[in-house]
Amino acid sequence: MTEQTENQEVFFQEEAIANAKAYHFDNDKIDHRFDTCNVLGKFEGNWQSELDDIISKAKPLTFNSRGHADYVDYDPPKKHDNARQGSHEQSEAEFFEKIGFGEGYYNYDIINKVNPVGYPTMEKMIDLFKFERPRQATIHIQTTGQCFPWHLDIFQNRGEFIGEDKSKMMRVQVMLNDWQPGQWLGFGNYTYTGWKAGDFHTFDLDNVPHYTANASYHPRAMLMITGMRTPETEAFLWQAFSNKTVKV
Amino acid sequence: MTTKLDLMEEAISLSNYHFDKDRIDPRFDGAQVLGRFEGDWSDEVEQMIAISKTRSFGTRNMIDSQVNNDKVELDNPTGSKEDYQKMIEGFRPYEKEFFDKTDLDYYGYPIINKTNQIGPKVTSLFKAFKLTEPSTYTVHIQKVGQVFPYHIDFFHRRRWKDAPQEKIIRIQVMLNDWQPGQCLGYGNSVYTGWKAGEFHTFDHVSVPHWTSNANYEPRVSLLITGVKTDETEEFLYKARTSKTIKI
Repeated sequence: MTEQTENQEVFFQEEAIANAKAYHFDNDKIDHRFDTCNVLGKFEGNWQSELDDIISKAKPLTFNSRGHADYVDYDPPKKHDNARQGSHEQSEAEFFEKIGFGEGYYNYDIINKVNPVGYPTMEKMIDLFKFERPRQATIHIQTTGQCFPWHLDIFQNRGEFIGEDKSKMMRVQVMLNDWQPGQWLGFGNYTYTGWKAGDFHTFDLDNVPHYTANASYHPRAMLMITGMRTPETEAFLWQAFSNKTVKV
Repeated sequence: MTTKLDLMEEAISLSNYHFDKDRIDPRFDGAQVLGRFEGDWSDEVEQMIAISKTRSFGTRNMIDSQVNNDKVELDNPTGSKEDYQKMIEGFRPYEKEFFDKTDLDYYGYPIINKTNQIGPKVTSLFKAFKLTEPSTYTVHIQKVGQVFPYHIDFFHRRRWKDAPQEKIIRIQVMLNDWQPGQCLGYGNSVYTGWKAGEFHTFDHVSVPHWTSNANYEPRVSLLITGVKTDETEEFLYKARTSKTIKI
């Protein structure tokens, strides 16, 4: 970590912001590449029984413990558990301390997570994207009162993704249940609401700050898949784009 | 046989809102922006952030965070301090019964910070609306991670039940600029992108609403409730037909 003088602003996302070379960081601007939700398609099917089980098994995680490997399916398997953010823990904790949310970093639950392995419909959805390794998948369940604060992703510049072709890297989020008033996802200066179960979307990994909160009394469920696009991925996305739904 | 309604069922039964997630009714689904104040009250905002107290749903009405106008100290236009305290204690079990069915800890989860210690500049914003008694204000400071869950107001059916209902208005003055991650929800619409000084209203009888802050900057707003006068209508016309109202 670089030395900081007392008066310097320390922001744990400095590295991520430096990577976001194309984003404007202007609250008064809408850049349609980034300040939007790029909806790609919609799955059609019935995964309610799986979802009920997933929700019952989801484990709460804080900003500090959000990287816990038990709740993510890694292909290839992860070499080390990043449960406590490793060498980044201190700078993150310092930032949250500075904004008056010090204890919250360790004890405020931002999301619940579940590993999707063993849920047939979830596995089918993951497979349909035909991502190449490195690939990871997890399920986010956000319950009432949980809020995942503003951040830029950094994983794509660390760990197993270092050296991979960024133009092929993709993160897809599949909404697993219908939107309820009070739930929202934020992408840059855009707020995404109103989704239906099965809708899936993406966003630019380096350039889109994002955040979520749930003020409804219904859990919000989402399958998150990250991997390297292949020609088969492109074929699937074309199918999704040019059909009303993709049956699973 | 009559089944006792829970907190939300009762509010829904008395609301004119459509409760259809696939519909937008512009009367209800959105903040009704009324105008914008122009001025600099940022020093008072900083002070209010520093002194504000954290509140849960169960403690949101604690009287030291919510006051009436200059003449009355409590947010209790039609009764005594003791009556007000009794009223709060009376409906808490009913509210808790509802929240116990959800994931939210009624007494433990911090939904908002509040203060009633406002300086002269923010006081002038309150007074500009020329509301008559009963009128009240409180300042909401929503910090990162705080979520004020979906609800429909019921103050007008409790401590404001004797006030002229058709003249009651609830106004929210945004005291600092919007930051990405801050959100107010009204029905099926979200309100974002505001600038300091913008003020809006909503149908407090019918519209479900909620707020959350996923940004690291506190969101600060002045929440005013009162009874409209002819002067209020004149002020609102002026606000609607002027770029800004200078304070």
